[in-house]
Amino acid sequence: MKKVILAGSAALFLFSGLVSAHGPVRQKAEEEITINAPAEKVWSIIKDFGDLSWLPPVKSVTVNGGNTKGATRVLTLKDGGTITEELKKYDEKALSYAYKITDISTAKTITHSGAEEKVPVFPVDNYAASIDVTPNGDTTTVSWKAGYYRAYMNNNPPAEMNEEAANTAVTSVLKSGLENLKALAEK
Amino acid sequence: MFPVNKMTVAMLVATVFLSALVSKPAAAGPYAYISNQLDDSVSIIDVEQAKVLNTIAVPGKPAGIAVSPDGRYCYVSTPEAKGFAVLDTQTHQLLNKVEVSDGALGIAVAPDGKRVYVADWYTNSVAVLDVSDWQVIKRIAVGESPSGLIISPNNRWLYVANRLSNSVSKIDLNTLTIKDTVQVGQHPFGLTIDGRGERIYVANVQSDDVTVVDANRMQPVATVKVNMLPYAATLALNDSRLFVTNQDDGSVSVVDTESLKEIALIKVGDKPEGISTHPDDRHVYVANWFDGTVSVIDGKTLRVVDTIKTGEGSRAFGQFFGK
Repeated sequence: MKKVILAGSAALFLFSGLVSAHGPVRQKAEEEITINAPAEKVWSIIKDFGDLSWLPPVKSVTVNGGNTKGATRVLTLKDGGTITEELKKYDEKALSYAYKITDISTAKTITHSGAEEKVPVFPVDNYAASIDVTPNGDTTTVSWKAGYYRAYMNNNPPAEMNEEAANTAVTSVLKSGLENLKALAEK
Repeated sequence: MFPVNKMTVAMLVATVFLSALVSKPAAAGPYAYISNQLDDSVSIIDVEQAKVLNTIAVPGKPAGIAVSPDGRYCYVSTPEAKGFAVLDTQTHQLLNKVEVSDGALGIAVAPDGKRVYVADWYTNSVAVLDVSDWQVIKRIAVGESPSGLIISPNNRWLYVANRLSNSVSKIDLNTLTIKDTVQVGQHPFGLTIDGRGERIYVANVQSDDVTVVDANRMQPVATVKVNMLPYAATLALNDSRLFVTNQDDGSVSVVDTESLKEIALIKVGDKPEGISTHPDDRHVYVANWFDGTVSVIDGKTLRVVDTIKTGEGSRAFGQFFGK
């Protein structure tokens, strides 16, 4: 036992001398909003996978397929660039759908650690999200959840592709989307 | 007569009271150890009380879990600390940190408790460590991005799911060399083995199915379709039922291991990941990453009987039950 404890303190000592270098850890974001409108009205605004007119950063959408699993949509952003998403789950009764990002266009190329890195317009990787509408009598709760990784999958990410960049970007989309949905539904 | 009896009762009461004070924690057991990756902690669940008994700070984004067969130690892989942490399950202290390599994730302990195996996501190898001195005995090259690890009950074979190679390697634990490799579905992640060591069940995150493999011949027996993003699996009820977490569906698929068909789909929390079976062989515990909770499933009624709040990013990838 003594031996183990000694080895432990040696390891601790080594640890303190190391710079943090590691692989990415999955991140999460969740935003919720209460809307003073019935759930049917709220759901009617967002229910079509091919319609993102309620989401401020999106300029236009082209969709391939209906509200069924496997449908894809390409979002053209107001700031330029595209994001391709696939519908993974659609539940009309539960007023919910889930989707995944399958492709993100490049915003710019940077040099990091001696290599060229493509910074995506939405700085995430392996992004999956779901949106849920829950009726509470006269009001409605909408919850939007996302799980994702930072865009840089190797150790020591550049600032444009680290966890903070990913979390900021995702939270901003979720918040602005829900706020606008509220405004539209309460009109 | 009467006073003596009273005295005996009083002494008994005192003894019970004292022993309750001395033994810490109350040795009820079993316990479930849940890694909370975004909180840098491990929740210790007292299963009898269905609540978190204690939360231990474990730096390094804890992910994988293995518990020594005697229940004395819990090993937690810490990818950001390049190795794993050793927790003392009696004192609830972080006893030791062992450095292994850059991408430590999957972790398993030998059925005799003498060795710990750590899969490394980046170096495509499995490290074999001796628990007596925490030295790496060998690093065995396997497929790409090795993830889940499972050891045969007779301590003879170690099976490794190689995520990016779409394969499972079988390692001979006497020679520490690869004996065989089998191709499975797309992106195998978690896997489990039956009590007789005859079949392994591999959850394939990308092909949304489970590959059933004959562990001796290393041949696929069947492919069972489950739901979105199957992540990890566990067996219960005398190996008659397989429970698989579907990460992107917020559900657990129940597969009859005889007909090899999905017979039920149970709603759990959001983004279920780690899954393990209670030593009673009936209840199944699921760590819900997004919700930071653990769902308790009664394997017989196929209902969620409890939901326990744990911490942010509960993963518990591995066998997380201890005595």
